Amino acid sequence: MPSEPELIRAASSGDEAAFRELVDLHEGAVASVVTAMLGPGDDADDVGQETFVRFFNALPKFRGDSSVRTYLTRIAVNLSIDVLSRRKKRLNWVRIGETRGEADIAARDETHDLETTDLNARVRAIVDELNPAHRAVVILRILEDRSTRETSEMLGVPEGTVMSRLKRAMARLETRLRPLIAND
Amino acid sequence: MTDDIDRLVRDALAENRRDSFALGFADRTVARWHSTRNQPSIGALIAGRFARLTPLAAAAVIALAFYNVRSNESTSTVDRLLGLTPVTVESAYYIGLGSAKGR
Repeated sequence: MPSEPELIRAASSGDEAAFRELVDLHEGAVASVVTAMLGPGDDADDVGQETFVRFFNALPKFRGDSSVRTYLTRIAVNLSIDVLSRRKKRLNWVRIGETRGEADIAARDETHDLETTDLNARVRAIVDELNPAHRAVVILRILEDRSTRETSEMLGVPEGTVMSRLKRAMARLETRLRPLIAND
Repeated sequence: MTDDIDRLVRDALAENRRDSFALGFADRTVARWHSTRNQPSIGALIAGRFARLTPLAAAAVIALAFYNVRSNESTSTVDRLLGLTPVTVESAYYIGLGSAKGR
């Protein structure tokens, strides 16, 4: 079986079999991050495909400073952040377009809370409220168990930024989740 | 408390996480790769369009330069080549008067 550098060399010269093998090799790592960021579904699948396509189109520039997995995760996280930002914008537009009064919205939210009885779904809804860049840090540090250094490499930001984002995100989550823990 | 929050968040996110995409992911990715490889970039498309205009633009520049050099024989070659009109004290004074009248 060819080594990863050999597969990369073959794929960059247009070898489809090598490309496919690299996709199989790293699908799990990419799927894990992308589905955690976006939830499973069409958006996640689309970001997964685009991650590999961008990676392979950038192969001539890939110098191997970081591992393939780190590089792929960086692309995947950045693409996921873009999708989350677009979702937020769309949601804001929908909210602007709504003609309901504050009371109606509050009543609807209350009904929504009652419907969302599953604790994990409620926690995810609260995590969804985070800024996409903060959410990426939470996923890499808490879920993927990455070190601050690895997270900074994957996100392409300094370690200090990772730490401050994590601190702010966790403070916000603690404020929002404390009532859930108290009720449980 | 923070450990509780970490655990809560980890459990909730882990429930949504998948270790693979839907079946046939590699096929879809390869197909997408092929479609992007056959598609020229926007930069290449624009460059291609402008490349076609290059001979025409070059011919127009040469024709204009030739016309300028032939038509004004009283000034220097560079001035004639660039189509610059000679500036004398009178013309400068006239321009100054013109702009003053305009105000």
